[in-house]
Amino acid sequence: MESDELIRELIERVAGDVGLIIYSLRPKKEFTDEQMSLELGTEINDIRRALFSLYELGLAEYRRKRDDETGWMEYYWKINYEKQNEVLRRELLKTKKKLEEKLEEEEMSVYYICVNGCVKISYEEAMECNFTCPRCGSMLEYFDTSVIIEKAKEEVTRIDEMLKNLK
Amino acid sequence: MDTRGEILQILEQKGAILQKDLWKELKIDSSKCSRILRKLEKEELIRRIEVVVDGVKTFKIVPAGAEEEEEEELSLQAIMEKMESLVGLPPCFGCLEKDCVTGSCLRLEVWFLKKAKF
Repeated sequence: MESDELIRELIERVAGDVGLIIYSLRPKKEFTDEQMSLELGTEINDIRRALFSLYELGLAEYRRKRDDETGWMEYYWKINYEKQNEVLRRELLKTKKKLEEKLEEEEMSVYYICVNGCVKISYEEAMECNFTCPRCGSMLEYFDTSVIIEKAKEEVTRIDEMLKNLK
Repeated sequence: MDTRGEILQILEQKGAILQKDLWKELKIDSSKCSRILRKLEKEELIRRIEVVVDGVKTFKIVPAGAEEEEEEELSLQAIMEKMESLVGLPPCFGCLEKDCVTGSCLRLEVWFLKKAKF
């Protein structure tokens, strides 16, 4: 996956369509939420929410200035395009770490699953319920996670590739 | 009508409200609101359910007789169907949750289990 595609995926997840549109606009200078709202014809609250999400990601920053006439605080926003790869790297590394933790947990335990798909529980919990589902009373079956673990490991490799491709 | 009555009326109309929205709507301070709610809960007129909204802990206020959260009632299969769009990179990519516990993340679990389908 190219880094442009990755950043789109990331922004869409965190700041939604509005965030993605703002980011794609590549505004040349600082702007206020109100200006952006007028330009896009989008509710100012949606613009603010998207901007603060971009801020939380580290892709936007603002400075506050009191408006001399109204006395209100104005937010002047700037998108940090130069941070794109840094943010992607941080998110990919975090995702990889979490995935590896998850893999470790899954590999360490044995799981049982209800034949009706109600619950997935550990061997110890399953034993306590006499291998019957605590919800529907049906039988609990051994759940072979080896295929999932393999697929998740492939995902780790894929993330490694993405990290390598980030310039 | 006193504040207690107003709260119960709001709940009747809306079904549920966040504590942080309630005191603003009633135009009373948050500690007073919290005190009244605790009392109402003790009298079993309402229930307070702890929730996290935008990273801040608050309570969702529901009438005492309200059904349990739908989420808790769902089977694993139903949750997986509901999170249909959870594909691609794991949900951790772009997740802003601080101090999360990997083992108890439902979204990561669903993402993981979906791998079995393909």
